Amino acid sequence: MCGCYRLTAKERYLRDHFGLDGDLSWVPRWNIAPTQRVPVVRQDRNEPNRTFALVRWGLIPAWAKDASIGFKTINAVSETAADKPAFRDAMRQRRCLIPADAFYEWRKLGMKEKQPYSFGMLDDSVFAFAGLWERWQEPASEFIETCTILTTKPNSLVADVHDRMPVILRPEDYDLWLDPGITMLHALQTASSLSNLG
Amino acid sequence: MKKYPVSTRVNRAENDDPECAQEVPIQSVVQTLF
Repeated sequence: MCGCYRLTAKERYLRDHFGLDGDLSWVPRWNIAPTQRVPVVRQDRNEPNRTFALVRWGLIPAWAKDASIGFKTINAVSETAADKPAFRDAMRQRRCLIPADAFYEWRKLGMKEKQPYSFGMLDDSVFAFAGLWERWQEPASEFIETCTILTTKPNSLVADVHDRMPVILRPEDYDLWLDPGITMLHALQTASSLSNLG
Repeated sequence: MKKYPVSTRVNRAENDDPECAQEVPIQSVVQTLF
């Protein structure tokens, strides 16, 4: 599970790392939590360049009757997301990058105590979670865009703290993950090969 | 990748400042019989 994360990178660095054009607005955050608006990077089928947007964390499928499902969909299990009604359309058509520079996981210490840990790159550089996004229309109201973070089995660093971790994409896989023409199989292979970043 | 313990301040979403990213000593858990 990934329930909180950090993105302190400045706008200029995000623009360079993710190959973004145009304006983007981001104020550094040290504790991003579910239901908050978070940055996503997307590739529109009809646009040549990637785009940056802020969407709500907690995916609401287009068919949902209300927004409450979003509290249970902050993460999607990568091994099963392609089959789950809440995620399968997004796995096919609406994949995104979710920029971060660290994430938090909790290790149980006793009956109630838990110790949070920060996980990030050795040089504190920005990276991307594999994400999915959706557009949902609130009854008689406006469209809301939402997202979820895919999770996978932990690598050796995370394994002694928690039994799951977010899928982290290598920069060379960004295009593949965002490609609207990619096959499901390839997308899953991309996701499943990324849990061993050491 | 690297990991390090951080403050339990991250347990609360309203805490959103650089202190959330600072390394802290690991908590010690007091073992009790009852």
